[in-house]
Amino acid sequence: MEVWDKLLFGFTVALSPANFLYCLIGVFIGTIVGVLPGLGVMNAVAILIPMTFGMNPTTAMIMLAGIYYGAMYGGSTTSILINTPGEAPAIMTTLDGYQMALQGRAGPALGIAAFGSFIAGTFATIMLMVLAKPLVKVALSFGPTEYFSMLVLALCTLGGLMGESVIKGLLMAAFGIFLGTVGIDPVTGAERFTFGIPELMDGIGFLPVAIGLFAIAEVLITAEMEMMRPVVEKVKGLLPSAKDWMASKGAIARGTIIGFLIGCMPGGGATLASVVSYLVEKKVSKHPEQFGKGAIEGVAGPETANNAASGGAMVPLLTLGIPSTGVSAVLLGALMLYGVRPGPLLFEKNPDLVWGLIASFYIGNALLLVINLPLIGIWVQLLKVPFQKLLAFILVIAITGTYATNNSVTEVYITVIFGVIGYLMKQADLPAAPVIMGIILGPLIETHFRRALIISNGDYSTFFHHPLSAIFLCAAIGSILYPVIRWVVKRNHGLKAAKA
Amino acid sequence: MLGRIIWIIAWSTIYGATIEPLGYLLSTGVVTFALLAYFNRRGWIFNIVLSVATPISIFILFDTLLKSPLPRGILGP
Repeated sequence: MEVWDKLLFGFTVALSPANFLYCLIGVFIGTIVGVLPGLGVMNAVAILIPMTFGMNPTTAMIMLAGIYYGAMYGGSTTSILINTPGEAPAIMTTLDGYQMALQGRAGPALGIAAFGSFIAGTFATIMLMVLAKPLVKVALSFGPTEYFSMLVLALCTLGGLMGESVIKGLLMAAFGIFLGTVGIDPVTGAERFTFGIPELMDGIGFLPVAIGLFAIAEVLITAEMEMMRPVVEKVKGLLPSAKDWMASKGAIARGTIIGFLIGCMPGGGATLASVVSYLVEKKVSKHPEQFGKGAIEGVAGPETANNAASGGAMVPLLTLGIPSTGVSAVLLGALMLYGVRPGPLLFEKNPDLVWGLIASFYIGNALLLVINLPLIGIWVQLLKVPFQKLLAFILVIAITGTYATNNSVTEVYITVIFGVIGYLMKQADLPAAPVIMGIILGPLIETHFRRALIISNGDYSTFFHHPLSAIFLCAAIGSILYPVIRWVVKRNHGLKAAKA
Repeated sequence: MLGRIIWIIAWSTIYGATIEPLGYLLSTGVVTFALLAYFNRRGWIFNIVLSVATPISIFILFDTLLKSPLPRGILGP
């Protein structure tokens, strides 16, 4: 089998000493980030990108991906032990995980989360391998018209499906697209929104914006809070019993599939996956009344689903070059900074990167299991570090990273400004991830849009004459209108009920 | 609470302004200390140790290990 040869090749890449070491560093940092309060996975990936510039892109991506799924895992530890999700996707785990911890069953809760994540991660990796070839084949037939429509769909669904306000999501995506237009017009060479400032001619990089909106803003938000949290310290017996396994095997299987499918979808993401998984488990359970009171299925399902989703998100990212979540948008931005063009050609031009990365997922998931079960005591200690002591360090390293990218003081100021903007956005409850999607995808959308129009001699109907493109655009419109349709249906329902 | 926000933003801006003229080590040390002095008021020894250790460790990480040179400023040759 051809796939096995390639996977074997991937393992030789991923197991080379440097790559293995950075995979280990990645999942380790990821877990720390997941555990520490006030440090999200987006922050960590954005802060660490500047440190990867000297590395070979394969090694860098292996480390960044390791941070991503390491943080997913670490986030569950805090959910279980202090009832605070370290990462948004772990939010469902607080419901039953913390209850289990209060009942003295923190060990099995952590254990089932680790094993569930491992199973999900492995499954997602296998599915990625299986799906990659056919998807790449389809993607290779795409022209600029299809790419334009697909990117529009990715951007539109992000705001809507995340469960927050569609309007706020789209508004922020538009803000990101606007930021992406700053600089020199790629086709005509005209200056756009530079106000004559020479530093703005190259445009606003996504990195200073991302570090500002995530890292600096997070520091500002957390600085306002006083944090004292009770930690459940007694953790023993990490291995789930046979009874626990019997109870959670269905949840793990369903969580894996739900998570993977949602992760592949544009706008899906790990948070949605864990919410859906929890609701499904509650529905199919024979004793739904135990949910929220320490049911192990309520931990196993969502934890499995969020890991499967982060694996699933790699499918559109690697095969099509389309990010389906905020984090994969940042990974896409990183790839472009390394000078690697994401998309179907990646499999032909950079097989070492693609297959090495895929193989590193297996290794990373195994490493997570190995390092997390024995190190749980250290994570418990880490939970007690007050954020006030970390704040200075996080701020300094974030600004150093921004500065070191281009040795530019201007970018430091841009980061600080976006830190303030991000802080104000949080106050107004506006999501930051769509801004990053906009700033990364905006210029790509523009390029494909103009290319498509050049091919069609300026005929706008070309986007509806290509069947796939038409489907993507209709889906995009549908995703925007969905809340409106739901509202109308609900109202009609209400009226009928009132009449009857 | 606004005081904390202004303090962080002010020192971040000072950081940007001093990183090149003063050099990375001095500038980072001062900023780290200023932030810790405000947010971690009990623990002077901890603050001083961290204000010395932070710039040196990040400098070694970026400048030496990652080969991404940082400004030496007045300490440099």
